[in-house]
Amino acid sequence: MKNIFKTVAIIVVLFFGLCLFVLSIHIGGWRVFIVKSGSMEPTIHTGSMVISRYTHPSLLKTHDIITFVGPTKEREFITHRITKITDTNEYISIKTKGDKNNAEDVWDVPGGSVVGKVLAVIPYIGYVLAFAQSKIGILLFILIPSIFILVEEVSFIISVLRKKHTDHLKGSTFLMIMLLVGTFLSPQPTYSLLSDSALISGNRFTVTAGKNLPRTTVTPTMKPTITPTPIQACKDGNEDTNDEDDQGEDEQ
Amino acid sequence: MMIKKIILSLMIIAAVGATGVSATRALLNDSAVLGTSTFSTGTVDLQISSTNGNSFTDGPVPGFTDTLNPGTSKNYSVWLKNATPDVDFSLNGHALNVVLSPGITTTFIKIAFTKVADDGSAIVGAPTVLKTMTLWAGGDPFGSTFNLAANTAQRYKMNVSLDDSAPAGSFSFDFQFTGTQVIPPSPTPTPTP
Repeated sequence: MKNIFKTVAIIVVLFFGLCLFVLSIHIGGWRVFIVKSGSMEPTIHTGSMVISRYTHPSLLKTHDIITFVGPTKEREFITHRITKITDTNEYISIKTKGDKNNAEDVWDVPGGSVVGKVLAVIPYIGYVLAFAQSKIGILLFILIPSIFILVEEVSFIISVLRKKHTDHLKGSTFLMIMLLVGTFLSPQPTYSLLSDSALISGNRFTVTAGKNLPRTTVTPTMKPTITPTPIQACKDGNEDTNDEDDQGEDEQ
Repeated sequence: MMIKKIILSLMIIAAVGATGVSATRALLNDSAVLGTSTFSTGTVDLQISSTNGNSFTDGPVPGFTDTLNPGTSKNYSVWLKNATPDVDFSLNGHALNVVLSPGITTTFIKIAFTKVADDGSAIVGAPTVLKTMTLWAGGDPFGSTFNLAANTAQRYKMNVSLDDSAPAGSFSFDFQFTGTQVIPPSPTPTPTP
C-alpha cells in the first residue's frame, strides 16, 4: 500500500514537472504567463497563471481571450478578450478589451502580434511563484530544501558504501525537486491592462463666415495678457492666448 | 547496482548544488524576477471636469458650444484626474460622433492639448499634442509626456482651430479620453560581478 502511494506521488510529481517544463520552453506553441493586473476579472484574477497555445489569427473568434505582444513595448505581453476581428485578405486587425474595463483598448492588434489563445487559467499560482522568487522565498523554497537534499544524498551514499539498507528518493525529496523546478521556471508576465474613459459630450461649433467671405472678428469680453506659447495650431501664424478661466476665447 | 545508485546520487548532488549556488547569487544580487509588489489589483478611475479643477466626475461632461470662423481658433479648459492610488495612465484621445456639414472635412479641424498650470497660465516647455480631427476620429495617443501619474490631476488647454479654407456650416463631436495603465518598468537585475 505504501509503495502504491509512493509510486502515484512520484508519477504525479514527474507529470507536473514535465508539463511545466514543456510549457516553459514553448513546445508546440504552448506558453505560460503570469497575469499581473486585473482588467480580466472575474474571468482571470490577478496572480493567475494562464496557459495559452498559438492559434492562427484567422481561426480566432470574437470573445476569445488572447495574449499578444503589447503595442508600446517589445517583450511585454497583454491578455485581453477579442471584441472585433477585421479580416481582409491581406491583413487581420483585432480589437480587444479587458472584461472589467469600460471601453475597448485604444490600439488595434495586428494578427502577427498574437502569441496565443488562452486555454486554461490556474488562479493564484503567480503569487506563489512571485513569493518563491523573493528573498524569503528563495531561502525557504530553494536554499533550505537544497541543503536538506544534499544532506540526504550524502548520507545515502555513505549508507550504500557501508552496505546498509536505506530508502532512497523519498517522497519529500521529490516534493522539493518539484519546488526547485517550479521556482526556476520563470513564466513571463502578461498584463491585463486596466483602463477607464471619460467623455466630453456634444461639442458644437457653428462656422458663420465661410471661405472667401469677410471674417467676423469676435472680441473677447475679457482679454488677458497675450503670451506666446509653444502651440502653433492656427494658420496665418495666429498666436495662442492664455485663456485663464475664459472658455471659448477667440483668436485672430 | 550500487554504483548506479551512487552515480544517481552524485548527479542529484551536482544539480541541487548548482541550483543552490545560483539561488544564493540571485539572493545576494537582488535579482528577483517577479515581485509581489508589481501585481495590480482593484479598479482604475479617470475623472474629468470641463468647468473647474475641484469637481470631478466620471463623465460624461457637457461639451463646448461656440462659433468658430475659418482661420481662427478658440481655447477651452479641461481637467483630468487619475483617481487611482497606484496606477499611472497613458492617455489616448478619440473623437466620437463627428458630424460635419457639407464642405467641412476632418482635415479642416485641428484640436490641440497643452498642459497648463492650475490657474490656466502657461508652463514653460509644456508638451503640446496637435492633431487633425482625422487622426482624433481614429483614436490617437497623446504620447508619454502626457502620462498622468497616480493620484494626480492636470489642467489642459484644449485648442480647437479651423482651417481658413473651410466653408460656412457647422461641426460637432464628442471627445473621449482613455487612461490606460502604464506597464511598470521591469526590475533591473544587478550585474553579477
